[in-house]
Amino acid sequence: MERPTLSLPLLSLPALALCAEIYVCERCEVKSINEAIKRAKAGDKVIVLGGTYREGTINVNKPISLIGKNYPTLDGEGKYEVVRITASGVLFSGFRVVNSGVSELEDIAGIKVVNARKCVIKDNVLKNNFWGIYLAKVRDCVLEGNVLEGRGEGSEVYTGNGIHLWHCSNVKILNNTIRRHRDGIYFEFVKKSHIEGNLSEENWRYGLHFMFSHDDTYVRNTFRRNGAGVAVMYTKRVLMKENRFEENWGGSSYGLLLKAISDSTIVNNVFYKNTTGILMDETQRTLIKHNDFVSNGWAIRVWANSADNTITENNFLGNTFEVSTNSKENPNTFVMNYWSSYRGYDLNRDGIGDIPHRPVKLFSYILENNPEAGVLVKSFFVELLNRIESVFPIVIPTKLQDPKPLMRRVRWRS
Amino acid sequence: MRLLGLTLFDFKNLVRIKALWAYAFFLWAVGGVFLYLSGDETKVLLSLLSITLLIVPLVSVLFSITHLYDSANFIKLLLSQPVKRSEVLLGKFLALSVFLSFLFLLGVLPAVLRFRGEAFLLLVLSGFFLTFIYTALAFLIGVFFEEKARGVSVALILWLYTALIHDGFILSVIYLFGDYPLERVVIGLTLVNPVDLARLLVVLRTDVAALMGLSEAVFKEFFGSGFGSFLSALSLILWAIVPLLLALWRFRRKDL
Repeated sequence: MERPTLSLPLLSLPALALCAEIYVCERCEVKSINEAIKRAKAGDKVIVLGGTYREGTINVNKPISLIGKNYPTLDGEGKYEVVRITASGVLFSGFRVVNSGVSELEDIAGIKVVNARKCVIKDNVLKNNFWGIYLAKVRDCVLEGNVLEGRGEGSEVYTGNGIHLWHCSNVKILNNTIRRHRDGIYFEFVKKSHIEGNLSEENWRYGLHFMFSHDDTYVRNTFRRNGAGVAVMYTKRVLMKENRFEENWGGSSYGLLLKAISDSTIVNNVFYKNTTGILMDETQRTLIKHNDFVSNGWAIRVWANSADNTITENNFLGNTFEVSTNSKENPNTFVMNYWSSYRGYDLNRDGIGDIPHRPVKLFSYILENNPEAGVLVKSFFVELLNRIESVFPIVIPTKLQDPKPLMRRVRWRS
Repeated sequence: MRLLGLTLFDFKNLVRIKALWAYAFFLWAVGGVFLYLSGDETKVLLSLLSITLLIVPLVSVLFSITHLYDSANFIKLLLSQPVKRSEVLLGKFLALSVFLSFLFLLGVLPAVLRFRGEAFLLLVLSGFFLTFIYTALAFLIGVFFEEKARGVSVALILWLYTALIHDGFILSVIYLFGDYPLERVVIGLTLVNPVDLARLLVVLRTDVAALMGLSEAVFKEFFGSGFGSFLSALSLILWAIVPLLLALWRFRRKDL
C-alpha cells in the first residue's frame, strides 16, 4: 500500500492548524477526487497519490489545493471537460490531464477556470485535450510549468487552443510548453498580463495570437515552426522583449504579424528563418529596436497603412529581402541599423556609413504590389534588375532608406 | 544500325574536343566553390540552378551551331555515301545532345551526390531538357541559315530572349495589367519558355517557393497537379521535338 511519506506532514506543519489534508488513492479511505472535494473545507488540501481517475468532470468549487503526487491521471474519456475550477484561490498542480471531449459547439477543455481569482495551475501535463487550459473571466492567476500537447490530428478545426484566455486580467503565464494545438497561446480581452519563458511550437495556426489585449508583456518566449507564426491584433501598449521567432516558414506564415498595433515596443528579439520576420499592417508609433533579423525571406514588410514607427539599431543579417513596402512614401523612420548587404563606405570612421542604405529591392517592391510576379523568383532577369537598381537608383519609387547605416553589428546582447 | 554508327562516330570526335571538357570542368568547379562556401543545401541548389539556367542553354546552342557549321563540308562528304540525310543530321543531334548532357551531369555530380535530394534530381533533369532543347534549336537555326555569322547571331538572340528578355516581358505584362487577375496569363507565359519551366520545376520544390507569397499556392496547385505536370512536360518535349523535326524536314529538301 502506498502511504504518505514522512515529508508530507512535515511540509504542511505551519498550516496544520488551518487546514486538513485529504488523501486520495486506490486504497485510501477516499477513492474519488470529487468525493474528497465534497469533504474538503475551504483551505484544505486534497492530495492525490498516483493512479488513474475516470470521474467525468472534476468540479473544484471551493478554495482548496489539489495536489498530485507521481502524476495521477485524470481521464476525460473523450467525453468530458476534465477539470472545472469555479472557485477563487485554487491551487491545481502535479496532474496528468488527458482525453477531454471534443465538440463542435462547446469549447471543452482539459482544465477550465471560470469566474475565479488567484488560481495557480502549476506543473501539470495535458495531453490529447480539445482545448488545453481555458480561463474565462479570471483575474490574478498563475499558469506555470505546464506541458500541453494537443490532439495533433485532423486540422485546426478539430483542435482547440493550448492556453486560452478570455476576459482576464493580471494573469502570469510562465515557462509552459505548448505543442500541436490550434493556437499555442490565445488571448482575447486580456489586460495587464505577463507571459514569460514559454515555448510554443508546431501548432496548427499561431504560436501566439492575441486581440484586444492591452498592456501585456511578452518576455523570453520561443515561437517555433507554427503554421502561421505569431499574430497580434487590435492592441495597444504591448511590450515584446527577448523572444525568439523561429522557422515559421510558408506562403502565409509570419514570424510576427502586427495588425492594428500601436504604441508598442519590440526589443531584443531574434527573428530567424521566417518567411516574413515582421509584417506591419496598420501599425503605429511602435519602436523596433535592438532586434536581430537573420536569414528570413523578408526581414520586415511595411504596408502603406503603417506610420510613425521607429526601426533603429537592429541587425539585418543575410535576409533575402531586407525591407519591402507597397508605398512610395515612407512615413516610418529607419535609422542607424546594421544591414549586412550595405556596400557603402565610412571615410571619417565614425562607424556610420557615408551614403544612405536602400533596403527595398526593386523586385520586392514589385512583388508587394503584384503578387503574380512571384513566378519570377530566382529569375536571372530579376537579379539583374535588382543589381542595376542598386547601382542606379532611379526606377525605385520608394523613399524608404536608412540615412545612417551602421558599419558594424549592434552589440545589444550583453 | 547506321544511325547508331553515325552517332558513335560523332561521339568519338566530340570526346576529343578539349573546350567541351572545359565546360564540364567549369560547372564542376563552380559547384565545388558553392559547396565549399556554403554547406546549405538550398543555397547550393539555387546557385547551381542560376548557373544551369544561364550556361546550359548558352553552351548548348552556341557549341551545337558552330559545330554544325564547321562540319558542313564533312556532312557533304558523308552524303556522297549511301546514307540518308535525316540519319546524318539525327546522328549528329543525338551525339551532341547526349554528350553535352553527360558533361553537364559530370559537372553537377559532386553537389548531387553530396545532397541526393529530389530537388537535385529535378535540377539534373531540367539540365538535360535544356541541353536537348537548345541543341535542337541550334540545328533548326543552322539548317535554315546558310551564313555562319547570321546563324550564330540568331542563336544568341534566341538565348538572350528565353533566358532574359522573356522574364522582362512577363514582368511588364504583370506591371501593366496589374488590376486584372493574371495568374492564368502568367502560367501561360511561363509554359511557353523552357528556361522558366526548368526554373519553376526546381524552385517550387524548395523553401524559396514561400517567397512567392500568395501566388505560390496558385502555381503549386497548377504545376503540382496532374494536368499541370502534363502540360509542362509536354511543353518541354515539344520544345525539343518540334525544332528537331523542322530541321530534319528542311534538311531533307535543302539544296546543299
